[in-house]
Amino acid sequence: MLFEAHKDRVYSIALRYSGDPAAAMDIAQESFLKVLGSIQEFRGEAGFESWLYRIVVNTCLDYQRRGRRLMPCLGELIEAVSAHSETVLHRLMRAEVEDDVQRIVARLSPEQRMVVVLRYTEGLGYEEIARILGCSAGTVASRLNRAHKILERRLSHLRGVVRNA
Amino acid sequence: MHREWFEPALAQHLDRVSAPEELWERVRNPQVRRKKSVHMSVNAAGMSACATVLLLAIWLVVGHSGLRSGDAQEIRAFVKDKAGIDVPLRAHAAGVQLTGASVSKEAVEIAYRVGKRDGRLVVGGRPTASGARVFTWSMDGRTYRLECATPEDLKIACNLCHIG
Repeated sequence: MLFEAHKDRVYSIALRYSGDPAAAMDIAQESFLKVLGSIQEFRGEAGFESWLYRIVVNTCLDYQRRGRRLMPCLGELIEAVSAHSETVLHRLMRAEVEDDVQRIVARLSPEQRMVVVLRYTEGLGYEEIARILGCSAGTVASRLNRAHKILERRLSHLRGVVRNA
Repeated sequence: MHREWFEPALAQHLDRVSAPEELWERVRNPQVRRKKSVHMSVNAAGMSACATVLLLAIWLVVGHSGLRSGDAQEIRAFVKDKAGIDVPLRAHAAGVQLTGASVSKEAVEIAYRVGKRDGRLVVGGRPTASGARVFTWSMDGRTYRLECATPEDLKIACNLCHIG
């Protein structure tokens, strides 16, 4: 069944992009309604997964354009990298960096954020991401590179924590 | 390919999750709408709080003062204290129940109920013509206006100050 086969994929992209389970449910619901409503228009020229990805991506971007506030859940990253040793020092550090991470995430453009999600949630390559987003692989690389620089600069104080995690 | 030091952590912590069971119900039945998100609720609560504060500020600036009470003596004392007007409300008015009063720069309003219907006695303010549900008169240089939901209530509301 189409829904069963792709529900986790669709929901995960929506959640990682939005950072909000309620928003993710909205996006996933809307995505599946679009898929089911236009499945007859799918001509098989591209792979089904690429077609599905495009619908989910566009739904995410539309959702944000409509003014919904989204916040990617990189907070989980902070939680994860800090949870291995709940010392007082780590707690203090986590509290200190959490605000920084939230700001970083908020500053990522929707396009950069989507590239990050497709790359790290779905494990897609540049070419596949480029097909989904309708841009060149160079553009994907550029967006990811800019996102990396922001993440690296702003998460630099976590460097030792991540390496030791 | 060169990998940034944080990429493994991104891959690990941005990985897939399982979709909630209720997603199918929402796809199967599109009329099922989501509950408002926390952000939206917080925003709504914030806006509501701001609106309340704003209204309160306006209310204070304009100079309103209010009292919720069913006690005739308490309301009479409140109006006299705030507006300098002694409205001779009776302690036990047959068929009519006082509910409170408010005082502004323009008028005094004494609220009451006849059965389940609201009415008010206004002292001051803009004079209006009398009618089947509004009775207006002047006394001591002030305009009094008794407003009711029905003509029958108007007769009963007279009991606020008079023995019927």
